[in-house]
Amino acid sequence: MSATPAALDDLLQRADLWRGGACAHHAEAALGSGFAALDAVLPDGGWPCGGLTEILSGGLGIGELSLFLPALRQLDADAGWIVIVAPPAQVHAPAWQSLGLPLSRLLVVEAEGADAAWACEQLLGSGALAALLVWLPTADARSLRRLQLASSGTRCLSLVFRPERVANQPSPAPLRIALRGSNTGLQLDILKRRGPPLAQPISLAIERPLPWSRLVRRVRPAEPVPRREPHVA
Amino acid sequence: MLWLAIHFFRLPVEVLALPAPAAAIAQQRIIAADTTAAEAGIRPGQRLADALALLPGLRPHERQAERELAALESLACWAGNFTPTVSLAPPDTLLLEIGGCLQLFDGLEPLLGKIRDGGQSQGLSLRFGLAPTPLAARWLTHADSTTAHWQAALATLPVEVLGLKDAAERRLHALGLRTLAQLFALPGATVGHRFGKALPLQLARARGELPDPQPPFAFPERFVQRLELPAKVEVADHLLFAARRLLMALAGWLQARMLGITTCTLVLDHEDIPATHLPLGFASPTRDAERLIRVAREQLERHRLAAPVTELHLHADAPQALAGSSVALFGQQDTGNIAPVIERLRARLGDAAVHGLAVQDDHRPECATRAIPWPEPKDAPDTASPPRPLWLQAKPQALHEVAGRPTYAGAALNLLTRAERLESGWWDQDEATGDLRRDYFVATTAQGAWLWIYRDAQGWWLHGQFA
Repeated sequence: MSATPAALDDLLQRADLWRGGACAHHAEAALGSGFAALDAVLPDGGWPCGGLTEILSGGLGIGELSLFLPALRQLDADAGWIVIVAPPAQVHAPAWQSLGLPLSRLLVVEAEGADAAWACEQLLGSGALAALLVWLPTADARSLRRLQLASSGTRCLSLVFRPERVANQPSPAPLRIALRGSNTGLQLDILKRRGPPLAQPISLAIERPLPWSRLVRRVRPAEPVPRREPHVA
Repeated sequence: MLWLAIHFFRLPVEVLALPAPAAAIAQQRIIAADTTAAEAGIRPGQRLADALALLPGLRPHERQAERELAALESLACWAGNFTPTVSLAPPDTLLLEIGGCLQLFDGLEPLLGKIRDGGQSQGLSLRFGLAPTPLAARWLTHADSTTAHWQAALATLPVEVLGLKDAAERRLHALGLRTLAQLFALPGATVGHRFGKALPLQLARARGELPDPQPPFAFPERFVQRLELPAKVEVADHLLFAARRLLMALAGWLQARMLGITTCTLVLDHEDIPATHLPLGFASPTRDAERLIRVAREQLERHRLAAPVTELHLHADAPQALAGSSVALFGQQDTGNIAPVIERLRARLGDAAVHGLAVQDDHRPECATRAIPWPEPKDAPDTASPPRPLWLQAKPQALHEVAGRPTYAGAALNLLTRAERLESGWWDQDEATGDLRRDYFVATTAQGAWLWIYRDAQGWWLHGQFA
């Protein structure tokens, strides 16, 4: 009976044997996410470059961009442009710069609805993009499929940000992640990946303007905020 | 030296751009007939009456020599796409020295293909002649010959290519001289004696025995070209065909002068109202004909004409030096070019819709970001600063205050920092942003969103999100 484990090992070495627990590798390349816990559960061992990644976030400000900061910082000058399409608010350049994102390779495209999807398709077709960040709250499955097709041949980190409520709509994106804010870190619920579903959401201590500990420690009584009077010169 | 002669053998009728079948005439004789008319048997030299008898639907139009010359000069500009050495051989031939640029175009056949496609896309019929001497190249256009055995091809040409007077031609025929080979076989002195001193000199030049310098075409200092339209055009996208000729000439002119443009103006002249100016903008300096045409197409497709157009002008406003691009060395990875895409986006979404960002030295958050048409080539060094949000609300959003504390979506906010006082802008009282005096805080919601809020004399406001 002692031969059984060895036989099993042999079997597992076979390339044509597919195991239920394994993830399919697909993307052209992957960009390390900067979080070991996350890389371990992403099928390509990092954010896929090529193919859409759909991010469903519960609102602005929970860290939906900070999650990608470590990956975006890795992109060097040869990789190409970082393009923001249809941003949900004004891009505040000083913050982007101080977080280490290169303004020299950053372009903003203001567009709405179908124009935004069209612009993304054109941009992905140029092959000159390192990362595409697009907000498509109302896009339908058809335009997402077109984007997925346009993105799949490229080496571009293609992030589509959509509201949480579309989580139960079908989507052609091979990777879908729902984000939720919390007091201890950003909760990532991987809704879809090329591999078995993940039982547990993972919590990541992403970069915030203040240490996370400040959030936990603070149990000040709910007192009115004192009003400082303006300086009188 | 390798000379390519391009003979636009239907230029007199093709510059008129009449609907087929058409012919250019002078003194009641056909000068040139378009393709449809030529298929019906209309030949140059025919009397107009004969031609009309053959083809009653023929549209004859008096030849316009000055338009032919203008067209030939415009074509010389276009030829600048291929070589900087261009000579005019009026009325309808261009001479291009292509020996020096064969390598650039991967050989003769691809180059000839490009030239032929370019000519045909402008609606022109052309014939080639290829020889080491300009005169032989011009003669060889008669046979549309680009063979390497140019001397053999030259010898078989009929004597008509010499363009002699009718009387001289008749004497040649009377002597039984039909081809150049027979003329070449005769002693030069005899030929000179019988047919004029010029003929043996010409034969010698064609064979390369005498030098035959060509005056080079001087590419004009400024590019301003016009194109008269044959009929009034009422739909904007029908203008593209005509605009294409101008744009291809512009591309060649830029290439020959090693320039690029980021903007040019297409002017549409109307009969009785002021002209329309259509600016064409490019994301980076360019002289690529495809890019010029693509942007013109986007503009023309979206343009609604105020009145029928009678004439087109093209001005290259501020050309700037643009060096040639070198071929990739050691298989360098080409990341693709984003500029053509940006142009397409701008043409559809508007110029302001695609922009880069720069940091403006201003303490007021609203004024700290500046949209610039194209990102600065170098990043500014990072400077340590208090926390700033990635997103800024265009208009601060009012927050309710409950028991002296700000609330967001009905729940009290958790303030994490002390007040950061921003007080600035007293100098631009009347500007939109104006004078501010605000206390900023970093706050979190129960849902885990990090907000940037401030308090001023009016109350609490949400100004940004730490995305």
